[in-house]
Amino acid sequence: MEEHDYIIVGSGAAATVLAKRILEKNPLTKLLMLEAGDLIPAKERRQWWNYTTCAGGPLPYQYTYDKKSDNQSTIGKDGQPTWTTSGGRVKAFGGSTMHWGGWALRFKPEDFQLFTNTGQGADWPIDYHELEPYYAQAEQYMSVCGDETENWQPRSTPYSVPPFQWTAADGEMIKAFHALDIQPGKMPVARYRKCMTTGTCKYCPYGARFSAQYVLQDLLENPDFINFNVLTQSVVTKIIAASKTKISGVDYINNQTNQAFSVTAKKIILCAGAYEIPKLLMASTSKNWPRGIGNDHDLVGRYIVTHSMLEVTGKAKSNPHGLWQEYDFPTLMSRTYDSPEQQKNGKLFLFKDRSRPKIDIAQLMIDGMSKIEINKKIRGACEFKLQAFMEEVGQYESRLSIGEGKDRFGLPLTKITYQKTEEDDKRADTHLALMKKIIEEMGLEVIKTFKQTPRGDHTTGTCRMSATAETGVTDANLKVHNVDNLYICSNGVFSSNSAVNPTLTLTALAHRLAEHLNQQDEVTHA
Amino acid sequence: MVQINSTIGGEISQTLVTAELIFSEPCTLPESQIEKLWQIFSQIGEHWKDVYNESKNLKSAWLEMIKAKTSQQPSYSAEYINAVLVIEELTQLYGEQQAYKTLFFSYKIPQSQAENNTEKTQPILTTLLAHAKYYVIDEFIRMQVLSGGFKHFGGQSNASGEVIKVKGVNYKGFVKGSRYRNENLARTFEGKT
Repeated sequence: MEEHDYIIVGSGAAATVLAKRILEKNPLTKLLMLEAGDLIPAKERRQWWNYTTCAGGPLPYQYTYDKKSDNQSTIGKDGQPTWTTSGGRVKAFGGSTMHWGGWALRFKPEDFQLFTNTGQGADWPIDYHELEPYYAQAEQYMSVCGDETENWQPRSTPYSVPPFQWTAADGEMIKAFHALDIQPGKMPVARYRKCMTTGTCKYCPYGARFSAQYVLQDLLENPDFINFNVLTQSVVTKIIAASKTKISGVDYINNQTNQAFSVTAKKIILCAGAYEIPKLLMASTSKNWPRGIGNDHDLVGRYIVTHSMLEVTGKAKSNPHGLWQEYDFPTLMSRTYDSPEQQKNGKLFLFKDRSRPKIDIAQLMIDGMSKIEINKKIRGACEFKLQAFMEEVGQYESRLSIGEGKDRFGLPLTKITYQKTEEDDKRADTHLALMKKIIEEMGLEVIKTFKQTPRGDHTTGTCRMSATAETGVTDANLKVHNVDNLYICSNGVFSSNSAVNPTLTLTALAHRLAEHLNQQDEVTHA
Repeated sequence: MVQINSTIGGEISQTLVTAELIFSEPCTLPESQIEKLWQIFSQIGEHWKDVYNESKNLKSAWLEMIKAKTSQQPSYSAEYINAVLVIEELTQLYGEQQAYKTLFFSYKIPQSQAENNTEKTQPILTTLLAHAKYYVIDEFIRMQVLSGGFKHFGGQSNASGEVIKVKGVNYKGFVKGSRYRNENLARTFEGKT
């Protein structure tokens, strides 16, 4: 059986960085990528017309989302699951970057020292300054548009593309921020210069928002990379341990034919996300690893956490300038409460809702309204919404494990045991009070406050990075503790969470790991 | 079982069919058929007044959409042919202007009782008129608005609510393009920071 140099499981943001950098360093590397999902064409005109003109705006990858019945999370007091997975991730070639919003924010230095600063959660075994050069690389790689003069954290380089300006609809909220000593900021987003603002970022017709799929296509079409191959619809079912310290390869099944295969490699990198990786590790039991690979200390799947979304909606009696949010992403945010001072009480990342004031002119026409009636409606009562992510701390009791049964891709279902702490609820109430104040400062009537059930989009912590095997699953180089050739690159390795979106940090970690592996390979070849 | 708005249209319009897209093979529609569809699209501009001015500039984009929706599965060919037949029948019955006015401003797709059939034991039935509205008129309206028709709403208006100045507005699906690079991408906040 042919041995690969690398097997990468998954094909999303992290997998793509690793493949690109390993192949660019040594184009003849034998690299196999295994993806459970299918190839869903990007930039396809018919799909785009369907998305923009059909009722409901169907997205071509929507069918890959977790179904409600796939969710086996614990049930809360209200009878609803305490953790929502639907719509959180895309299972396809390119992974969740097919649908992500492209918000690309760095963590702050204090995020890496949560335990030291607060006595809660865990510290990362690396600090911000160690990751900073890789943040710069990640921003360049994903073409992040941002404003470095805002000084939210130390930076060695400016952003590669200038920021999107605040929209007119942001204006009243910006004024309220100033009145309450909150610094407004411009949302850093991963958009190439060719962005022509179609407002259909979830399926961009021109590929102007970063997606791992475009990078993978380029790699596959590059004639120099003759040993690079991606197999879709290939579900990895087990990691094969040759001994306690060495992995020989993986087993996978083609989910269309049900044919089973085994492949071997010198190094295996798991990039299949914070849900699938812990399940795969736990499923890979053997004499040497009775609880699954890397799980001798029963830490795989533990500390699962995300950041809760908080919302406050305000109503304006009129909209004299006929404003609506003109992009498909928010342009206004603030990290004033995402600060060292706030860390003990759960940091808060504030942003204006990306779709309000919402004016669906086409729908009003479809409903039979005349032009005059529509113009009147546009200038009538409207809503503004302030949203925020609240940092939460991963708890030992919060756990992801293998559920009963399989989903339609052949992946084991996910079971999540999770309850919010009373402390989290109190913090959320305090934060909502602040957010209400902002809405009231805008002169609006508060009509709704909302604490969203934790969603799976930004899940972290299930394969924690740590200094020792007793406290986590991987070491600082993302290698599974005490295993020589198995690496994890996913949000799951985050030692603690933050208030902001994780993808830029994951991409920075992937750049760092790629450099580490390339250096190792150099030594081996020498 | 099914409530049908029997006050609009004739035999063709009121024919009952299932609500799903009418099946047809991908094909190229004849030029004459495309021109009739273009007339429907142009009438949207006529009836929402200023939006009409955009229609003439949109034909290449509109043709590209028609081709995309008829050249591959699921094909809209049968829906487009149906819409032309329905409009022709309504025109014969009410005259062209009244036919469009009724279709655009009065007609509502009936809420089928079958939609409340949670067991889904029977297919949802609707009329060919509803098909023309849902799959053709409504989608043409969305195309018209996203391609620039939205510019006639919002922006600065006079006391009577008429839009008098539109500057740099953006709407879901609008492709600003390199030809208009001197315009802002969107209305921006001009206040002090």
